[in-house]
Amino acid sequence: MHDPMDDDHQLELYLKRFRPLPPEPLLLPLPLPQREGPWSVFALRAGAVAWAVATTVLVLLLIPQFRHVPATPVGAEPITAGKANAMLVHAASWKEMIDDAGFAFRPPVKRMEPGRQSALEFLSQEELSK
Amino acid sequence: MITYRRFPTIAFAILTALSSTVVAQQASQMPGDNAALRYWSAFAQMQDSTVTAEQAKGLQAILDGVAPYSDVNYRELVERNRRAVETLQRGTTLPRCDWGVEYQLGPEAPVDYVRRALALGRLNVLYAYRQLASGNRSGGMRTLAGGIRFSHDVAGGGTLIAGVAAKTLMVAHLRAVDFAARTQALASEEKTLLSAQLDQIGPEGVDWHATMQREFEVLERSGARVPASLVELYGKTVQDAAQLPQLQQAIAGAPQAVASVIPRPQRVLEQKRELNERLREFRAMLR
Repeated sequence: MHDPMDDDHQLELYLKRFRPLPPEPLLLPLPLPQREGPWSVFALRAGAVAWAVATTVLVLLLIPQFRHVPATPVGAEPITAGKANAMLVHAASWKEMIDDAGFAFRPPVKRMEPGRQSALEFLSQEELSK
Repeated sequence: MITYRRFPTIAFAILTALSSTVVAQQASQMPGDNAALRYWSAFAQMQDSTVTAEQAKGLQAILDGVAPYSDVNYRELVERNRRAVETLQRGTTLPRCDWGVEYQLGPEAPVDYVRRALALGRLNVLYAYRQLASGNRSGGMRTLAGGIRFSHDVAGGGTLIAGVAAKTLMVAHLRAVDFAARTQALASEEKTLLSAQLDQIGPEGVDWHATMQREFEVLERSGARVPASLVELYGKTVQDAAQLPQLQQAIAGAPQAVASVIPRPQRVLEQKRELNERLREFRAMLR
């Protein structure tokens, strides 16, 4: 089953790796022909720089769209009193344990395998009751 | 004779008084008065967002007070959770908070509310920063005052993890008030509002002794045979740090199966000391 989330992830990774190439030196015979004056060289360079800037801006505009992918609505494993005790006993630092962004803001979620969906999400769908 | 004749009347009066007291007590314990139920509603309203590792670090820095709040970066997250925060705020006006933890399950008792409360409380801090940044100072101060009460409620009836989370949240809220006070001196009505909240959370904000007692109850139900004398000494140490060496010695002398499940007392004392210092500074600021 085709998973659009994977495509998005791949594209995001590709865009993150993308770096505009610096303009290569022009392979023109030296000395320059008389009819191509310094203005035409300047125009080529300016064009290359403009292309690089435009590409960079485009990439920067696209990246946030891929960041706001809806979270997979599968809850993390619930914490029990016993697990909490183990965390407190074994954590190197309580501050780090509590401050861990995953603990507080984004509980670790399980990614769905292609072709599968969250049972809890399915059971919470309104259409089910119709 | 007269006394005997009046006995049924007196008994009836006593019974009526007792039953009305019971009814009054039950009425005061109505589920609608339980802030925890409102907080659970707020948890359900929380809207998750994916954040990058860099954004997560940024959020932590804001909550730690080492970086300013950036509305550009976090406006969307805060606005998505506005309703959840507003529900939290309504919960803080209720007289009691009972999370209803099933301690009879021992170590299997779910305490996931702590994680959710941590996230919700932090969203409350961010929401307050957003209000302050947008010029809504009175709203921001009300949000922070409610957040202090919420932090206190997180610890109520909980084990040590709830106490540590409550302390973390309370410090984050106090830090945000401190930021607001440095931006502009607190007005008298703001001091009154915050003082009223402080009066409700007790001298230490978190009842560390009670959280540790529940921690030991859970350990007891998990089969760890912690000696009663050690539990008692731990409780005394939480209230009086001078007992720490004696307690450490007792833990070192306990069987490995027991010593390996007892949270280190010096860490509990550190948490308590840090919160007490913050509260002391805060109370001084309100004078």
